[in-house]
Amino acid sequence: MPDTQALRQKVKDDCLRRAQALFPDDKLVAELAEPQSRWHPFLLRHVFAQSVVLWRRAGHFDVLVDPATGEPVGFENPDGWRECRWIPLAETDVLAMAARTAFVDGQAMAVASLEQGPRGCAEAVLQPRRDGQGVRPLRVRINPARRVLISIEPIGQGA
Amino acid sequence: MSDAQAAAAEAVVWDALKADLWNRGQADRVLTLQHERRAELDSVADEGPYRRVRFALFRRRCDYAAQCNATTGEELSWLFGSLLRGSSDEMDKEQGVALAQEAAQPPPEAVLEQADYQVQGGQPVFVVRWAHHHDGIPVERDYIQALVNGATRRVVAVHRKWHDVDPAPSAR
Repeated sequence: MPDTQALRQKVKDDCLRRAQALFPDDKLVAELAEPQSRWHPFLLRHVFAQSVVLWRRAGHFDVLVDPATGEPVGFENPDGWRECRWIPLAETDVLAMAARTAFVDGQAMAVASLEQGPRGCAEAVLQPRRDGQGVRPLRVRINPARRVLISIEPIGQGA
Repeated sequence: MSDAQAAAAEAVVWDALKADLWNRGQADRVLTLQHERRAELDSVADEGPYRRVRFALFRRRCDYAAQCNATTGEELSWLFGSLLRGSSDEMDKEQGVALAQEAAQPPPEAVLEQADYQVQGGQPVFVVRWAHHHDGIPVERDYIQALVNGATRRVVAVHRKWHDVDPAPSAR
């Protein structure tokens, strides 16, 4: 009688083989849920049931961390560059979009500059509204065509 | 990097992806974001003044479920449930049977019983079913069934209940 681990491995191998045949271009990862084992009244068998979620690799996401404190200080999402194309954005719009992340307080920060950046992105510098708050300026890049954040990073000497 | 620091960094990933959904007017997708996407710590590298923590991102491709005989390990069924979505009746039946045959590998004693579209979940799904006949006699309850998505031409499920008939008289 095969043990649970062997059955799980068999299901995983079969699943990946079939899925890879269906989606040959995808890099797939199988995540196995907790298996269930029960007596099946119709099949008249002791049945091992395993469900699997198949994930396909879809890029990466970088978080910038202050090595001294371990606190995140910004991020870069390479997928944000996809279909990037310049469309003018209002400063209020840029601030509102950035303020939906934890890095930007929409009340405490203001847009100091906003211009077309590399590859057609919107590049803004956000600064604290009042001096002496210990808040560093941030560079925010946005893909205006898809309205996604590409990156937020502190400006100036590192963390 | 500690577990707490890794968790804080991963929270940034979800925070930013959720912000994008809000910014694109797709706030309704925020609730299912972590069902549809997955982030996995990939690497940590010091870069200039920062530490760059890279997360590999994944998108949910599909779900799969399988059943085996727990005693012998014999496979009883497998199913890519979400791949039934969008099925249609545009595939011709010969192609459907050929695809099902390739996936299910019915043994010589299998007799084709059904090869037609059935409405399942409001959409037409091509169902191919074989019965088990031993020396011309039907074997009750034994069958092999395959489901084919008529739009994508993908076999999305195979169910199998089959046993080798022992013609020798039993003790009973």
